[in-house]
Amino acid sequence: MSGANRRRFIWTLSYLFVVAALGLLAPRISPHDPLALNPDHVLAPPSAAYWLGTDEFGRDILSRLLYGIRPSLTIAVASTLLALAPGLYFGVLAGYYRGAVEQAVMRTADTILCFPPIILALAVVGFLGPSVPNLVLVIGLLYIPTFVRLAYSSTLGVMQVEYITVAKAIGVPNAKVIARHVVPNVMSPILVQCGVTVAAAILLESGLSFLGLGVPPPNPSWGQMIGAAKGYLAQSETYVLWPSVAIALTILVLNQLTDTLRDHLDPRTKRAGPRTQVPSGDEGATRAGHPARSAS
Amino acid sequence: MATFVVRRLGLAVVQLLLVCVLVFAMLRLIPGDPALVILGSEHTPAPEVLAAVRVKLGLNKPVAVQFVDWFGNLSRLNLGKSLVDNYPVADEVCSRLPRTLELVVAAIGMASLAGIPVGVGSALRRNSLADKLVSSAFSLGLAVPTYVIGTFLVLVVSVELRLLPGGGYTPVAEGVLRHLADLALPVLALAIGLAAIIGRMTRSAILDVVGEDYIRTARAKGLWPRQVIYKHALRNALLPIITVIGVQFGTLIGGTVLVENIFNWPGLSTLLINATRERDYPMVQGAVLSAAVLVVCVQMVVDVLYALANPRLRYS
Repeated sequence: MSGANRRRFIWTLSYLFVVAALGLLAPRISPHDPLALNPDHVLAPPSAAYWLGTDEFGRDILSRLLYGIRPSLTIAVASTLLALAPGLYFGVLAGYYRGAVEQAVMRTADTILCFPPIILALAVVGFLGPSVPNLVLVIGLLYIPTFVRLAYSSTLGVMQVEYITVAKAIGVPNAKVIARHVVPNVMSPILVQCGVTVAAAILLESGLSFLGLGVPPPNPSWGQMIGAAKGYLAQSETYVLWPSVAIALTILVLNQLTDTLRDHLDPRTKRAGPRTQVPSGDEGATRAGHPARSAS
Repeated sequence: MATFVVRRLGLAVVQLLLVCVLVFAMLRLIPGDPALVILGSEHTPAPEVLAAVRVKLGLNKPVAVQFVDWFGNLSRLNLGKSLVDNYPVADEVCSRLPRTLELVVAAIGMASLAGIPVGVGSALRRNSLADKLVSSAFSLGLAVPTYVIGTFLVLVVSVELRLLPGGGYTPVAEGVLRHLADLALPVLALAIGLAAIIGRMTRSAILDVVGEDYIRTARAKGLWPRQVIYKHALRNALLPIITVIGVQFGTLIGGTVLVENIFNWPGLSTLLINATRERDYPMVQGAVLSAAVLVVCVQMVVDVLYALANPRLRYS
């Protein structure tokens, strides 16, 4: 890793570590109960007692921000892990065996990718009822196809390499070829995609929470706080500011981290900015590996 | 070329069919009694209500029959009727779709007008201070969620400065200027993130082509730098830019969900959100289906445009 990259890697990872620690320690370090109503201090500006001010029910914004880390990170990490395993499994199988498996897996993945994620998530969560487990389930399922596509196209690349042919020719069982030779070689782009998916999941969850269909109130989440603050823009400018800064900064750092990882793991992209991806006839592959974009 | 178009059309038809199957299956994939899911579980509905919903959605028939009915109705563009007011879903979707498309198309136009020149300029001044500032701005544009941009636009432009309305919709018939004033902020909210994506892509695409031989030739034969950039470099760099716009189309449709909500824009996404809140299942189904159909069609058009521009792709 080059010097600049290493520095970027360290500070982005430190930021995420600090955020995670703040979320874990929220019950100990929060100055107030995030759910405690205080009718005397509604929409108060920042003060010594309430460092970042209070919301429309007089609840402490700082405490709610700290507690809001918990659902965001839980949902983002859990849904990424949920998407990763089946995505990797089916993608590698499709790329390794080709034929009917490939058609069945890839056409299904393509079909799900036709739906803008937030629209499908909205419809499903709306009927399932918003709750943290439901959000993990829906967001996780929605990101399986991205992993499938990426694992598939990487596997196709790996299959061109001679040692796979050799391994097959000397009679190594398929399962062993996949586990020993294919999977380790497709992991780099998959790892980068994990970072992209965590950011996308945070955006998707916060977008749904913003609409009131994500993390159920009164439990705080960043998106929901922005959604609530939207109704009081004229009364308190700072209310909307804090959760917005928190979420934008987190996504920014996650994008930086994935860019750094991509630069490091893929020698072809050692330059600023994303690689120009020319579609190779099969479209969706170009989606993978892009920095996360709002509720994408 | 004709073969390519026919094959791509065939793929689109297959995708459309699969999309319809998935939308049909959506309700059945949710665990539990579909009728109960639709009505919500906060209070157990009366048996008559439950039965009425079943009959209305055809849930009392065998799944195979429902499936055939669903496709039969779709082929006649019949998406069913609203559970709330019995209004035909297809009519409602048709009246709202153009408004959402207007947002998306205007945002793509605005983002291209801003992103492409800035990306070109930034690539030509590679590693200068301006380039670094622009790159940081792009990273920021990629990181700030659409709904945060929208909320801040309302705060700054309409609450603080009182320049433009913070939401609403005026039909063109009631005044073009007022229509445009209502349009400006939601389009801007959608366009900022897209401009960052297009700008980044333009920058790296230009950097990819400026090293090519034909650029050196064009320079060597004494063309103005401007001509070299806009006629030779940009024209070739446009291919990945078109692709990225095509790929982002679905994301933009998703982005309208949040933007329409912030600005009270009566488009497809507002319909979807309201229908979800009212548990109006046929309406939700119609809105989701039309969004996906739109994405399939746009992707097909982009692929065909791409093949038109890039002959190498037609034979792969």
